[in-house]
Amino acid sequence: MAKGVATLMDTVFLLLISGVASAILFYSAANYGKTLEQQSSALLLDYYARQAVRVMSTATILRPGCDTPDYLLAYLKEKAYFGGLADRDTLETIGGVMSEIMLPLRSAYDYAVAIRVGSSDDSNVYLFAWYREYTGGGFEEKDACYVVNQSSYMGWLAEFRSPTYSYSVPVRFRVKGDPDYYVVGRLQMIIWPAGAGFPDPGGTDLCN
Amino acid sequence: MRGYSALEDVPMVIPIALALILFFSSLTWAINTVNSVNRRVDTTVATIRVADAFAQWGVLTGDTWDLSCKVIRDQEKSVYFSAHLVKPDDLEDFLNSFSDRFDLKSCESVASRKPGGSSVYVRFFPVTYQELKKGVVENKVYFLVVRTWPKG
Repeated sequence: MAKGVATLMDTVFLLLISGVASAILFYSAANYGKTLEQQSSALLLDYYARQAVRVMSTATILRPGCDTPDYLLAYLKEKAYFGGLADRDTLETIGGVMSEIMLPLRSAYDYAVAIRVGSSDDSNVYLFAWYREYTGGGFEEKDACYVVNQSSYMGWLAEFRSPTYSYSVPVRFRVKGDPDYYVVGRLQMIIWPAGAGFPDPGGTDLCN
Repeated sequence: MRGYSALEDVPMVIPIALALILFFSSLTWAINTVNSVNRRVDTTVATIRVADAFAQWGVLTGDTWDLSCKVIRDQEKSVYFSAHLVKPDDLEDFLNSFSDRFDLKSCESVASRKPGGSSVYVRFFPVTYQELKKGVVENKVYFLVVRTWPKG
């Protein structure tokens, strides 16, 4: 009898140890797969953002009222020079190029373009965004543009609760009044999952 | 004294066998999962390598496309691939059929095995392509569609 009970206990312990070891293996393998899948997706989306910025900085557009193409970046630099970057015209011009660039991802991701004119903390950052907002009846597509200073912009970026994928390149902007003086700013693209919300960057939406 | 009989140990054999089967099945599954994930990551990295061979020019032209194709065909040995330059308006048609009616340019590695099934990895990235129309140069938005599939 005692031997039978001992055998039974040995059996139970053996199966328990084996079961725990199997569960640990299962959990580790599943976790490994999930982690790498997330990193793999992040790698691809970061690369997509990089390509989006490259395309923005080299694409040509037809300016309103013109029939010869010009660089989109030249158009933006000119508008920044005259201080009129944050307006509906700019939003629609950039938006036209962005809707082509983001064509495959538009259904699942929201995105924004940030143009930083200068590198100091009080430099202006022009933020153009295309996002979806939940309004009770469903998701509504919206666009907006803001002018904020650099520190507000960094705060806006930090407020995102969902992962963001971004890339930026340096861009030179001319300063009005001094033909020899340039400031170095940045052109940045930010992508995030649709429906994650759009943190308020502060200030007024100048395009609506 | 009662003699020892090996039959007294038979009940222990069954749970030991069960335990070993359970453990080694889990181990095999875990190893297969890890290998499958690693292959997927390698394919992702290879896809970006192929895409970057074309995209790093900034603005693609017919000549730079051909040069990049030659370079990446020589260098990329870990996977089979095909790269296609597609207009945004034709992207959906191209992805439905992978027909060369819808791509402007294409580049393929020398593959002994045609792509098919769930092992094909397809990704698309925006690029700028230079077009010359009536003497005017335009840099238009195109898409670089890259397909990769494993060797062997």
